[in-house]
Amino acid sequence: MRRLVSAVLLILLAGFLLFPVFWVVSTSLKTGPETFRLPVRWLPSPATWQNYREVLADPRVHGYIGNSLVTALASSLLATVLGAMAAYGIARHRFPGRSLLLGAVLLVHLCPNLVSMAALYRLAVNLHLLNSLVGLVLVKGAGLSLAIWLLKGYFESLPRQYEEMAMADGCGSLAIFFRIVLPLRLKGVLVTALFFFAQSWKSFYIPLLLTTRVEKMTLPLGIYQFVGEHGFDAGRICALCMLSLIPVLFLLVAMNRLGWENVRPAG
Amino acid sequence: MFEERNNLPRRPVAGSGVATVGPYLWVTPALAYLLFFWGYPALSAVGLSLTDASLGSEAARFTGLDNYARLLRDSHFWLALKNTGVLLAGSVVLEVALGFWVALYLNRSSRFGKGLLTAALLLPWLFSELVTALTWRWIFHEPFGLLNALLARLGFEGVPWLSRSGTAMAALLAASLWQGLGMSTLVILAALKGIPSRLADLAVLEGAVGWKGIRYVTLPQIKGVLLLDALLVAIKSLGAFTLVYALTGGGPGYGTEVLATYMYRLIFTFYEPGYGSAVGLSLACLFLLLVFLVHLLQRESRDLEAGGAP
Repeated sequence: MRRLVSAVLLILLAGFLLFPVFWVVSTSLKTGPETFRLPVRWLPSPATWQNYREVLADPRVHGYIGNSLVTALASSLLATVLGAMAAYGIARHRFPGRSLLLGAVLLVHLCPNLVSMAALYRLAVNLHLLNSLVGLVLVKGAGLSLAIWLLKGYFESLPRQYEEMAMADGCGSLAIFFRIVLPLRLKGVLVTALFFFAQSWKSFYIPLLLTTRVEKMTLPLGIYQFVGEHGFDAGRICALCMLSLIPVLFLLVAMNRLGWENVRPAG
Repeated sequence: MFEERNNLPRRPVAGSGVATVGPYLWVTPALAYLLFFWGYPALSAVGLSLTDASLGSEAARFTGLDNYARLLRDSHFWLALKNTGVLLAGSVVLEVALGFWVALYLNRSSRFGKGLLTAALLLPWLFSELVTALTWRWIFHEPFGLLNALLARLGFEGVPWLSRSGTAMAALLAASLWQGLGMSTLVILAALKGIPSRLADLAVLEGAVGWKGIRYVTLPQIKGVLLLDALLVAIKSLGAFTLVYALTGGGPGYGTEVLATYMYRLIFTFYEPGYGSAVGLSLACLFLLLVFLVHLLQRESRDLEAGGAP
């Protein structure tokens, strides 16, 4: 009896988790009139790629996707490089202020710059970073606190012997980092970079804050434009939502291949 | 433990002049960056909250704590605070309790549907906060949404979910649970896998099975992780700006307005960055409190580990 109850509950839960996905897929394959017709149909008949064709033919959407790719790539690179360097410094050295720095990094990671929204906006205005991809990259780069946190433990788990040998051979510390430590820890650094790419690809509120011009919008902000234009343009929104999942899906597969266990937040 | 000690930075050996500035060279770029794009806006938000600044006008006057006094009298602020609390408490209870339950199920060996359930839990991670919000907005749509279609099939009247405060808040909780449950489950599952199997075997021998086993063996072992998970869910729901903004827009009226969206509305709709920053800083206080608790918890678990190591 108890088994039956828990089985039923788990099936309900699986339904709760899967039905939204089903609904988005189904809507994205319907025609406009069919989307807004009562009684609501569960499945599209006939299924059509019309929504996908339309959004992919829209030059604005090309811009959204291009902007998203560029900013995600650049901010992931920025956050990973600066974050990896800092994580290495923290992992390998004791210095005054080290634990204070770690505390500050945790604070920055957990407390988003959402809370200083107006000040951030002013800063962007003063630096002429409104409606600029560079501005998006720079502001998003603050996520590097997470990279420090993820990579610190990962660098600590690297035996010191490699670096000591290299040092004995007269290698400088920059050379040691870039030619010994990074290659030996490449997987984890890559996973971190991919993770950041996904985060940035998904981000909405910073682009919302800093962008008003259509040609500088990233994909999430672009999708949101379809909400206002003609009411809730469900078919096209769902098609765009499905398209926006594709890169994240690839990243998830790649991260799985590289191994999640390579990167673990330091305790 | 051992590893940590082995890898502790040693005293610099040679070329000590370089070694003492060395660590700072590594952390300075990141530190300078964070100071400029995180620290400076945070500080200037404090300054801004003490003025009657409005966007575009340079003639902001210093008004001391006026904005904070206004907070106390502002009924919309209190409503937003209450809604933030409801969303936070609801998310924590739902995500931790359900996450614990699902993790227990997944932790047992060879159960039916494990793979499917895991996939279903991970799938929402592909969805960004915005896409999640829009997906659920479409599900709750009146009259063309999935949920009303389901009700119609069962012979009920459709409900205008997003035009009533109570059901709109429930919609936010559902969307938040949908996206957060997978993470919560994975965190708890990892902790369950960490319980030594001899402890579980011993518990079974002692007759602690089923609910008793959970109550006296499992729960005490993963108490710390459950607390940490609860704190992380709480922090996530404090920062759930996009979800609220794109799903309900804080509406109907101010019915589901949370602190984050109220701040945005003040700054970008009413052009009151000064007062909006005061709201933002009150939100920051809540963040600080939770981050401090995370810090305490981490320190405690580290101490326990250090004391408990053989």
